[in-house]
Amino acid sequence: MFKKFGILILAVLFVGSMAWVPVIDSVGAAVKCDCKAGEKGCTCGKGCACEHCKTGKGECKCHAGGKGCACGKDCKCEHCMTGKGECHCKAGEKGCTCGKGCGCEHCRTGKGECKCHAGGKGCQCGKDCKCAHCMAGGTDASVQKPTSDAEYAKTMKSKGGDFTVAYTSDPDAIPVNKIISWKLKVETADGQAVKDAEIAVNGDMPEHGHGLPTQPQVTKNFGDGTYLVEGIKFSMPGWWTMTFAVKAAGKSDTVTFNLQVK
Amino acid sequence: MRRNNRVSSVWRCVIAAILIALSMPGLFPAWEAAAETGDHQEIPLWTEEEKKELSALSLSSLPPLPKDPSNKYADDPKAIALGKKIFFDKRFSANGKVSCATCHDPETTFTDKLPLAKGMGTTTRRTMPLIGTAYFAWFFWDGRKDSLWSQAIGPIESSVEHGFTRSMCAHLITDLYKKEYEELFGRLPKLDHKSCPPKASPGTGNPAALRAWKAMKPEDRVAVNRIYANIGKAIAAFVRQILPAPAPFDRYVDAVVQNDEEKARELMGNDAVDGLKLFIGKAKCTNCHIGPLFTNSSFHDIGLNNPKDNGRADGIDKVLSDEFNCVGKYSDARPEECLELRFIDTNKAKYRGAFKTPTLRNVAERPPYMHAGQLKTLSEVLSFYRRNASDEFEHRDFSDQELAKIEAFLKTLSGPLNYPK
Ligand code: HEC
Ligand code: HEC
Ligand SMILES: [Cu+2]
Repeated sequence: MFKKFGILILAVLFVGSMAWVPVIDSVGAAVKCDCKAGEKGCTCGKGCACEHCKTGKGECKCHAGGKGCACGKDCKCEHCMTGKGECHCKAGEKGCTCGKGCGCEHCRTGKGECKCHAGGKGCQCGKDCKCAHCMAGGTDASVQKPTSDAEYAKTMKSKGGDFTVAYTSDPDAIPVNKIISWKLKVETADGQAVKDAEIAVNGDMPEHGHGLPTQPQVTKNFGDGTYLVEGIKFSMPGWWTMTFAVKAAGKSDTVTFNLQVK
Repeated sequence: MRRNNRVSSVWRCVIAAILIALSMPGLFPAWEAAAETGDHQEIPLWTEEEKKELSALSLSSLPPLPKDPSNKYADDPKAIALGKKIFFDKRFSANGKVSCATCHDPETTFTDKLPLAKGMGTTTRRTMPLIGTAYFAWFFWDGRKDSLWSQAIGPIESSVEHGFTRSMCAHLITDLYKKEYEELFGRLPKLDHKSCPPKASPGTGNPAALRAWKAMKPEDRVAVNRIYANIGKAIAAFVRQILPAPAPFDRYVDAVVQNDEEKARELMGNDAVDGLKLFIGKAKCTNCHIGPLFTNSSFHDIGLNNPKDNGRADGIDKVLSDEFNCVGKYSDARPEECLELRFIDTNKAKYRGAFKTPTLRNVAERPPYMHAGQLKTLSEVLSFYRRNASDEFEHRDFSDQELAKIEAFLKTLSGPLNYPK
């Protein structure tokens, strides 16, 4: 009973001591804006639109369609709109009108809806974002991180089932940020060595939308169905995929390995 | 005995009173609160998995200096000694006032603490710290150089840095360092002001210097280039040796790995420990700031949006066409040893606005931050990351307090630097 009473008092004290802590982060809350002399059509703030504007917060709020917008301290873009951290378009990017109902070639949202990386083209993800390397916050099945051991196996069947491919890595424990090489063993579905395959390599970090920091290549065909892939480098820890496009005897198919780099 | 009993019964009453009082924590909120934080002061129990992650960040896991196959003098003590002299020698500049140390001051972790560096003029980027650079594959913010020796001769001919020429370097070496040079690299060729005009260079951007360079005999040009490259190799031998010594963070990790909780607690405060947890966990900083040097030495666009600088996108062609690169004729490497250059990622669109991840060693000692000194303080850096959250750093939900904790952790990365004194 005493204890309960004590806790009550404690709780009161605790809540009391919280009172002075600012509850809401004030960034972005202000809708003030100052426009510089000589600038056209400048009426920022709630419901305002302007070609060049600057908010009092050192942040910037450019409205879709506003050209030559240099706002805030480090914000510069052709057409941009950052209100509640909704989207940032980068300098020099074309046709960029992010935000609600916006679409752009290269854009970035802050709300977890979709994140397109610079250089990604014409991809359709999330609600209103388009680019090649993108992710819809979990709705796109292709970025579901595999969990079962089988999905991380070092021997995999190709997508269409034409080939079975196995890799060994040198070194065996895959390091971060070091160039390593892999040996691939390619077989037909019925276990025959594929001795004259043409193989293209592509690595990707699906959760981040970027690839390897190198361009690996098959540099040697050992002639017995095994191949040397040089120049593989993983720049971060995490889930990576390595995809090999195999062409042999009139067939072409791809095989993807998942790996967890630590 | 009896008397004792009586006394003890009195004491029993007192103790009982105290116990009753204590069982009403409401009457002693301060005491209760102290007990609460006391619990939190316990060293956080790092999981075995986390301990592995931590020790991968500690200097104890820094491997020995990697070989540089493109510089066979890289570990030669004579090269280190000569390189050190040139590093501090202001005579290798147009006005006699600029040496490498002008911008890379040993007193401030080999930086100048300026947003943009000042030599003969002002550069467009911030001076990078020289800490453990031997471990990197690419140099400069845009990685336009692939070795330390090739990097070292860049600033000498930059009009805003040393403002010098390679032909002047050849003369200066002959005049000032003939003996040391020849002991290392063999006989210096005979070059006079006619066969090698002092203001001759293809690399300064000055048309007159370029004309003078083109007028030189091909074999003299090669001779000058060879001396110039060798100067770079000597400087690189010195710069390679600039290495971090254990900071409080490293000693903390060593203590944690040895399960020496008491020592660990002395080395890092609660905030710093919490900050470290965030750094390797929720904030995902180790996506890029990884390994004992806290960098993957790769290129990333973290959203600084500098319209004046394309970063790595412009560095790719430069390193590929550099006559002083790893596969060039002044390199000591066999072409197949030049792995980074052979497998370089040439996708420029991917690297627009991407810059080299800087080391975080001694980071608190050398504001301002970022490639053009855009951010003045560590707390500005951290609020910047909060604003520019992406998949690679999940950061937007952080409270100011959490940011302060990460900052406290970053401060534990400051330690002395070792270099040949
Ligand atoms: C005027 C100031 C200045 C002078 C003088 C100068 N540097 Fe630098 N240093 C810089 C700047 C600025 C950068 C980054 C430049 C860039 O990315 O374009 C840099 C980058 C570097 C790097 C790259 C580090 C890394 O991690 O990639 C090294 C190494 C270096 N300098 C060594 C030297 C040496 C050796 C000398 C003398 C030959 C020298 N610097 C002279 C300002 C200077
Ligand atoms: C995607 C890779 C990446 C991640 C993740 C990342 N950084 Fe960085 N960091 C960089 C790059 C690249 C720069 C330099 C950017 C520039 O100047 O253009 C940088 C710069 C910095 C600097 C300034 C250092 C200097 O010398 O200028 C600090 C401090 C820093 N990061 C801390 C952090 C912290 C703390 C986190 C986690 C919240 C973090 N970084 C996450 C890549 C990353
Ligand atoms: Cu990544």
